[in-house]
This record gives sequence, C-alpha cells and structure tokens, in this order.
Amino acid sequence: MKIQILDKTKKRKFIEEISYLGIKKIPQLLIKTGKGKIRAFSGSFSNNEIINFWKLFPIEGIGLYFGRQVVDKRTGKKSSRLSLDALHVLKGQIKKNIIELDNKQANRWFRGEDIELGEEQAKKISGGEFVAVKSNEDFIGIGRLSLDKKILNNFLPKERRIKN
Amino acid sequence: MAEESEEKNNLKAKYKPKPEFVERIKKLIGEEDAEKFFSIAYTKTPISIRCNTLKISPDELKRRLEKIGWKIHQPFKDFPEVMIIKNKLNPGELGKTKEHLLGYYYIQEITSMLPIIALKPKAGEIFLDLCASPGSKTTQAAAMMKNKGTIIANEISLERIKILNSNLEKCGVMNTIVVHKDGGQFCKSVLKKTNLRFDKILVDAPCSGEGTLRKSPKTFLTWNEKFIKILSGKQKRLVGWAVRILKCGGEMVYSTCTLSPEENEEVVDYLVKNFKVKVEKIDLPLKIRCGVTEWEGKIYDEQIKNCVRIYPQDNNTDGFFLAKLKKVGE
Repeated sequence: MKIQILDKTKKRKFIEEISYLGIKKIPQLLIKTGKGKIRAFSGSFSNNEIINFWKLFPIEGIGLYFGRQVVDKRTGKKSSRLSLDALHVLKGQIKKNIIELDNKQANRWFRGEDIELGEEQAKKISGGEFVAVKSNEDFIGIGRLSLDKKILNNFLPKERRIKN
Repeated sequence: MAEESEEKNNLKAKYKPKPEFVERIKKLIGEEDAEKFFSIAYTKTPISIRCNTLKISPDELKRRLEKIGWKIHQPFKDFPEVMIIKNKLNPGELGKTKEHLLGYYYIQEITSMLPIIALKPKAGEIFLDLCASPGSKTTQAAAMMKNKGTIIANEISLERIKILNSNLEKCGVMNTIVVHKDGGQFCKSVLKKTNLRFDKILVDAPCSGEGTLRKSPKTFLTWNEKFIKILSGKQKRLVGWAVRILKCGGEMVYSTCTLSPEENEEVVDYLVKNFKVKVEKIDLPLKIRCGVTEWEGKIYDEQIKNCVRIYPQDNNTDGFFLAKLKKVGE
C-alpha cells in the first residue's frame, strides 16, 4: 500500500472539501493511500515513524478509511465524500446538509436502495452534491442528491447492507 | 427442547470423537468431567456480543437492543461491554440489526474476549497483535486504548487481512497499522532493523481448535495427534520471536482455543526455560482451572500453574487457554 501523509495545506484542502457538512477540523493525521482515498490515523507514531515503518514492512492498512476525493461528473466540481465510519467520528461537527430518513426509508437504505425523497426532506439542503444521511439519532451513511433533489443515491458499502 | 436434543443426537452420530482424543481428555480432567465435556460439545454456546465502546456506551446499546425485544445479560460487573443475548433469535437476526451494521457491537464468544481482558492494553501504549485476523481482539484492544497509542496488527494471510480490515473499519478503529507478514519473520525484522519494542503483545496462536468443538464439530474428525506436535513447534517459534521484541517490564499474553498441553503449557514452559520471563497470575471473572505441570512424562516449571484453562462445561463457553507473561530481563 502506497502512503502519503498529508501536509497542512493538503489537509486544510480536504477539510474544505467536506466543509459542506459543517466540519471545521480533523485532529487525526490524514494519509492518502491511492485512488484519492484518505485515511485518518490517531495512533502515537510520528510521521517519520510511520514512513520508516512503511519502508520496512508490507502495510495493508493504516488508520480508518475516512473518505475519498472525487470529481462530480455532472458539474466537473472537485469534492470529497466521507465514509460512514468517518461520520461517526465527526458526528459532533456535522451540522449542515443532513437528510433525515423515516424508518421505512431507512430500512430501504440499509438494503442498498436509492431513496425517493419527500418534498420537505431536501428543502433544507443548501448545496453540495453529498449529504449526511440520518435515521433517528444515527448517521447511517453518505448519499448523493440528484440535481432536482428528489432522489438520494445510496453509497452504503455492500458489506454494511442487510443481505436477504 | 426435543428439537435441541434431536440436533444434539444427530451431531453426536455424525461427529464421533477419535478414541485417542477421548483418552487424552480423560487423562486431563478425569472420566466424570470428560463425560460432561463431551456432552456439552454437541450443544451451541450462548450468543454473546461485545459493545464497541468506540461508538456507543454499553448502557445505550443495551437500551436499544432491549427496545427491539432482546433480553440482555451483562455477566461481568467490571466489563459491562460484555453481553449475552438470553432470548432465541431468528436465523441471521444477530447480524442484521442496524446496530450491528453500524458497528455498535461485535459478535464475539466470551472466551475470545479474555486475552484482552487479561492484558488490559491502555491508551498510549504500543501494542502488537501478532496473529490478528479476524480482528476480534484487535478491535477490543483499540476500544480499551480509546483509539490512542499504536496497535500493530500482523496477519500472515492476505485473504484474512481483508476480513481484518473490514472489521477494523466497521468498529471505527483508527490507531492501527495492519501488516502482512509471517509472525516470526515480522518479529525478526523488527528486532534486527528497528528499535521498536512493544509494551504489550498478544500471541493468539493458530492451534488445533479443541476448544471450539461447539461451533465447529468438524474438528472431531480432523483432530490429529501428529498435527498437535507440528503446531507446538510452530507456536514455540512464534512466541520465542515475539518475546524478543517485548520491552523489559512489558507483558505478553499467549492464548489458544485448544486444550492440548503440547500447544499450551509446553509452549509457555519453553519460554520460561529459555527467556527471562515470569508467568503471572490472571484474574478473570469466570471459573478457571490451573495449568497442568506434568504431561506425557514431561515436567513443566512450577510457574505454569499460573496459566489458565477454561473448559466448556465450567462456564457454558468454548474451551480456551491463556498465559500472561512478564519480561523481567533481556
């Protein structure tokens, strides 16, 4: 696994790209691991220790998969999509662009289906293609809103879905 | 009840223990206890889960699971994260809840939680899990360490690393580096090429699995005395390398899910006789038995008594072995 520790500027850029959720800071070290994937490491190893360790050993994972940098094919705009588990880590900071699903919609969400939204549900969404998806008190994933704000595309990873 | 009894009889008929295995168990615990051992071996263990305290508190999880109708029992006062589901669940129900999909609990047998309970990793420590997949103990350690300090999770099989990584993600583990290497080779490289030494090490070694008959009765058929001897050699090599990269004053837990003394006490005895280590007493919240100090003509060190044996019939769990060692000199 190739790794690149994000310097201050790159980290700030990543945080800006997820600021649509209200996130202002990420205390953990951020590491890029290929295909635009960003991971957060909260361990006590310093940057040098990580790099030296990586040079000696075949690393197959480090920290938590936090999200990835993507380009919206519809608008050409660069953005970043957070992972479900990153939402759990940063939940205290997530204040904007939240779609709340009712129980029926949440059950369909956990089956991996795209969700048809009611008129009121997406009304508060200010912008940005990605939204944090909530059901009762839980963040249950990241979705992408269609341009007309009527459909919520499901990005829940397969292994986190209910299998029939 | 009648259904359970029929299932037990079917399993008994299908998976008969080999006479040599029966003899060894009798020799270990006596005829009467051996009967109890083989009787419980054809029944299922209670369903147990561990609350993932990185994401939710045990109280909150209990409240939610009770809301969906589960009866939750927390058997250990000091470890409220350990939970037993007392009611019967539908097939697949355990893995289909929202709480499971979100990583709020981890399905784990009680005995599998004991090595980390014994080792007590703390925030800020440098911890090595030498045979880490599927990640039950790595995720438990990360929760106890509150995602602080560093965990190195090593695993020899690339296929099993996928499962390990998936479980680490689901549990929100952030302080871990996953390495793909043979355990002995990993320790050797750490020793020769780095100054890295660990505060705590877990060697949950690959074993013959005599303790897991209740979930894997096939072990009755695959059990083989020769294989035990081969595994014993591999386990000694593994712990021998691991202890070399433990800090002086550091602690190591050696555990297996088997009951054969060759894979357990003999391995610990090898460490005691070849390295500056002490076998420490372990305080665990369930019925335990001492390590054996004599087996097949071999006499083990007196300290081996501090090792812990867990038999399925004592606590209605799987069978398990663990030893906690402290390094007292280089």
